[in-house]
Amino acid sequence: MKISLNWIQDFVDLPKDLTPEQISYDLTMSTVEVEEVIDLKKNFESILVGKVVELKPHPDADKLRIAMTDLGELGIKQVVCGGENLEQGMYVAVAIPGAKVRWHGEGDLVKLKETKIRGEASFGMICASCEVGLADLYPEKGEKDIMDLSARPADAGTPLADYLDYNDIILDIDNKSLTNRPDLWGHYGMAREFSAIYKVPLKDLPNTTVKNTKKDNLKINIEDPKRCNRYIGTTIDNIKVEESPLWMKARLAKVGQRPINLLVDITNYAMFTVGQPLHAFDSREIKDNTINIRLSKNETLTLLDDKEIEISNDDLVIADSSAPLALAGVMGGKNSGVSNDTTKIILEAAHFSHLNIRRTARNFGLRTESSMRFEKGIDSNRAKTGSDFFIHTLKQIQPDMQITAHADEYPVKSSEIKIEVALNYINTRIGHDFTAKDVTSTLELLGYVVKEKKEVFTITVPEFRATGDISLQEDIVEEIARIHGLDNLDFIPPQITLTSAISTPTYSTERQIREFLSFTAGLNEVFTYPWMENKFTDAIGIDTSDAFKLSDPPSPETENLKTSLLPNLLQAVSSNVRYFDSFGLFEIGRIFTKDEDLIHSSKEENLPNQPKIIAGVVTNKDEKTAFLKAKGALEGLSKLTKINFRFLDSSNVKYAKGNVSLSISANGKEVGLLCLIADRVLRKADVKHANVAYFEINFTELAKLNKPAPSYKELAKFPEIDFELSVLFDEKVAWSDISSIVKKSNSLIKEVSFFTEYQGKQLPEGKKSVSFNMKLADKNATLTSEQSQEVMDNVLTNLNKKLGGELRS
Amino acid sequence: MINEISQISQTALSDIEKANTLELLKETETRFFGKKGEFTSILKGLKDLSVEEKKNIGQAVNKSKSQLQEALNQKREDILAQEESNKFLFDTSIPGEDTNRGTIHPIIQTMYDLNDAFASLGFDVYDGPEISSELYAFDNLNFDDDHPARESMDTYWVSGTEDKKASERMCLRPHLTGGSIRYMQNNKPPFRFVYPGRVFRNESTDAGHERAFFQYEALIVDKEIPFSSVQLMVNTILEKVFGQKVKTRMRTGFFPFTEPGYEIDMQCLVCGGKGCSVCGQTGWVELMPGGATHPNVFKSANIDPTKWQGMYINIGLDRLVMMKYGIKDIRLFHSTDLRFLTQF
Repeated sequence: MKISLNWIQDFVDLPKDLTPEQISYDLTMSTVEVEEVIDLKKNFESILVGKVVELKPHPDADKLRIAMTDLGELGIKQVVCGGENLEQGMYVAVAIPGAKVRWHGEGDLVKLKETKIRGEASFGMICASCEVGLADLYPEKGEKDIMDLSARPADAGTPLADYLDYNDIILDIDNKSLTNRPDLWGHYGMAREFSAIYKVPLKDLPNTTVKNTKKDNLKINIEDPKRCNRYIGTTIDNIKVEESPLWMKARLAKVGQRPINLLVDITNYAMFTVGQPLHAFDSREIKDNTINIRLSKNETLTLLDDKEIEISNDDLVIADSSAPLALAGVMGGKNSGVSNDTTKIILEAAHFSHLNIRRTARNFGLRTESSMRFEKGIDSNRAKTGSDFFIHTLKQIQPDMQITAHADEYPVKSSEIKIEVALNYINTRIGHDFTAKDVTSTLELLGYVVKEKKEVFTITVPEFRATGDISLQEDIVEEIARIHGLDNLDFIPPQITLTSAISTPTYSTERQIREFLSFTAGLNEVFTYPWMENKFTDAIGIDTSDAFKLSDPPSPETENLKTSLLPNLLQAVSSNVRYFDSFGLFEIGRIFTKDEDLIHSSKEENLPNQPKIIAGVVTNKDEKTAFLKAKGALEGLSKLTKINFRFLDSSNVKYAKGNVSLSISANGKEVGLLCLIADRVLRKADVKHANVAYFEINFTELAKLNKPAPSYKELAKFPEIDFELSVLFDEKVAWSDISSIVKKSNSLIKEVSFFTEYQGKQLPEGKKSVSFNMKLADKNATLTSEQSQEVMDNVLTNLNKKLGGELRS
Repeated sequence: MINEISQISQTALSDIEKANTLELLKETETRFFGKKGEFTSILKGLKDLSVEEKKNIGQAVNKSKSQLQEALNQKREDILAQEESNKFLFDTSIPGEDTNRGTIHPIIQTMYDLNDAFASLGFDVYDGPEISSELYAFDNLNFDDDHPARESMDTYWVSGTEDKKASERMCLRPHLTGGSIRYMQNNKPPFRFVYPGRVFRNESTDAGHERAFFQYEALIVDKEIPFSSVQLMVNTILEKVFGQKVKTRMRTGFFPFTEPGYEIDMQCLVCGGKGCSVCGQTGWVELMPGGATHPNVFKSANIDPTKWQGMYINIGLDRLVMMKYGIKDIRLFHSTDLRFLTQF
């Protein structure tokens, strides 16, 4: 919303020594956020009012003329101009050298220089309204018309900004910061804030008394006071629809409202002043002098913007005895509005329920200045303020107007809100020592009525704030704090009650794992969205019929919420694989499953199960390298968390490649999986020339597991002997079988560890050589060479008998 | 004879000094201590002397001998050290062996920085579900029934529940504040905790807007928490995160779940407050909304608003991290692009 500081100064005298930036800062700190400070006169520098004293043809161009233009102190200057409506004696806007204009209203601003046009000197430029940003104020009648100021002559040489009252500062206010302050949707409300911020009095609005008259028999019927709580109708006769005076048009244009005609302009002017939307009907169009505020009955209406709408049963309309005239509080109808020959109007000033207006405006996609104000919930009293202000303004301009009917239907008066609050409460909450006088004077400037007794205030909330905005002691605290300025308080260290030490085991484990996966295992953490893209769930073959879906997803392709972290990680691989050959990614995120386990978050809420999953991918040209890196990360994670992972062959992972698929169990519970991704899946996911290993661990389950009590192994007292053996096996023999057989071969074997495996030309086809180390020790004695030999014999015999292994010579 | 010995010693010392290779040194050693060396011959001549003389000269010879031996050893060390230090082993400019270190997401890194800062002030860490019911996302937080944030153009509702109400209507959490009520319901005041996490809004994305972004909520519930102390706390924590003093300002703001509410802005670090494109020429960047817990919110958490006072802050972590590194596009955080992520 745009606010003019000149307009504000109708109601409050702003301190003279403040810059516009300071004023904007103060308003931002205490009330609403100012997005931009616009100095209007900057746009009109070096643009003057000139009078064309002589008009001559251009010797070398048919469509151009030479205008000898009086520019006051600058004297009479020659200006070449193509304006078709140019006449001798006309008052025009002349841009002189240094002015910035927009040629024909298009492109960037251009700085003007003295020049020659077709051989004739031209001092400056006679402007069309679009060239100086005044198209709203001076609509062009013809394409080649220049701006005609003759309707209101002024001394030649007067700066245009002075002429238009554009020596003004406009504050552009963020509408979002105004949503809870319906009282601020007009200049008068803003002026009240300035009055409190700068401790200067707020002037009264002009006083007008309109008596209820019934010369014309105006009937107003409110069907449901919950939807329309007040309706003031005034029939005004003997009016003339003409152009508004320049000062009013200029004010409207400055805040972004296009002037239309006097009647419409005054409704807007009143709205921008006091915040009350008004509507003027042509009284000829109102059948039976009757205004019914009722719900629609499946009717149609052509709106002011020529759009024909069908109105449902739940939208409020203003109707006469037969048909709807306007969509209440949102937009008027085309046929019942003011036209050029209107002489008698019915003025509407009403209060509608904000919920109603919001719904209707949304249904029809109509956000108007009127609906925007009503949907914030303005007070019922403002209807009267708005109506009075309209009548006062119209009377000033057309003193002959006559009120022939005035009716104020106000079935249920809104009740007064009183708040009792103690000074001590205010001061403790804010952390500052205000006096009772500080509090009283601030509140009074904001329109409250305050009674104080022994530092306890009884506060009556003004009706314009009693709209749901102010009702609690805390609200009063806010008023005092914000006007004083939250930023002007002394810093007081918080007084904290110390209770117990903080213990966050789950958080700490998650953090350890995250740091391990990235810093030690070399993976990079990614964030992905909580939804999955169909392309990747399809590629993997994930059945999404069980997935939670979004009712209004970012795209039709992304309606399914995560049931696995794999699809998004695969997507991440596909977008990175063109830059990198080998890399690892991981994500710690939630999946959403429709299983039996609901989360009973409270007595009243059961939520879908949404366990936290740790998942990762390792990408490498070589499949075994990719797999072993991923497995190494998991083994390291097992050591780190002290929870023993068991890897078991698993055949139920459908997207796995060949036999490379393991389930991970801990404390007898399955907590995750590790596999290579099948080539067909990679192909569909656009992952080319790479192999991908994938793992996932259910962190929520993992965090529940018991860890073994911390302990240590005593160091050996007698020397240990290390042996290495290389044994030839069939290629399908598993290391897990080899190691368990070796270990069981003799009780002196304390450790068996894999060293390397080899397959190749030097070995028979289908065979592999497995090398491993054994650590031999006796707790109570030094081993003899006979003992070691016996161990070796046991091992080789067992391996041969059970797995067909043969010592490699 | 004593003189002779000292003369030989002098010569030997100076010869040792002159020898600058191991070969020359060996030669010198042989010249004096070899089978036919000068010292050896003197020692051989001792047998013809008297006991008294034997004793005197023997002592002198031994002293010189050990002196020279020491000089020899020292010289040998010097030559070896010299030779070693002149040796070229390999090119030291090649890069070291890669430790293959990966990266933690920049937002999580900053989250941990904040967690550490808050932990040092005794804050607990809370984590909550991402699918929430409307009850916890809006109702408990004092949002109007008709509040625009409840509409599907703002919040992601779960299909099949979108027309239900309260605890039956599910959404991706649009903010963290609703979730913090779960903490309040399960803990007795006084307490203070942080609640970091991602939230989701249905909006169109551009360099400044995302559908998923990271919030960081901190809540203190205690007997007396004046506003001025919140700004002090915020300043302390920002200083820790940015490693420098950061200027903030606290201004009025409105949120349904606070009364009163405020906004804390940070002076733009890119332009130092002069105004630039990052801060929209204002010199200030909106950093966190916050406020005192609204009594209605306390009521839904079963906390007595007349006895306890609450103070929120809610930091937009994406913005904070963008400020910290000068990142210009918020969408990079969810891009999964390693060219971006490996820089942190």
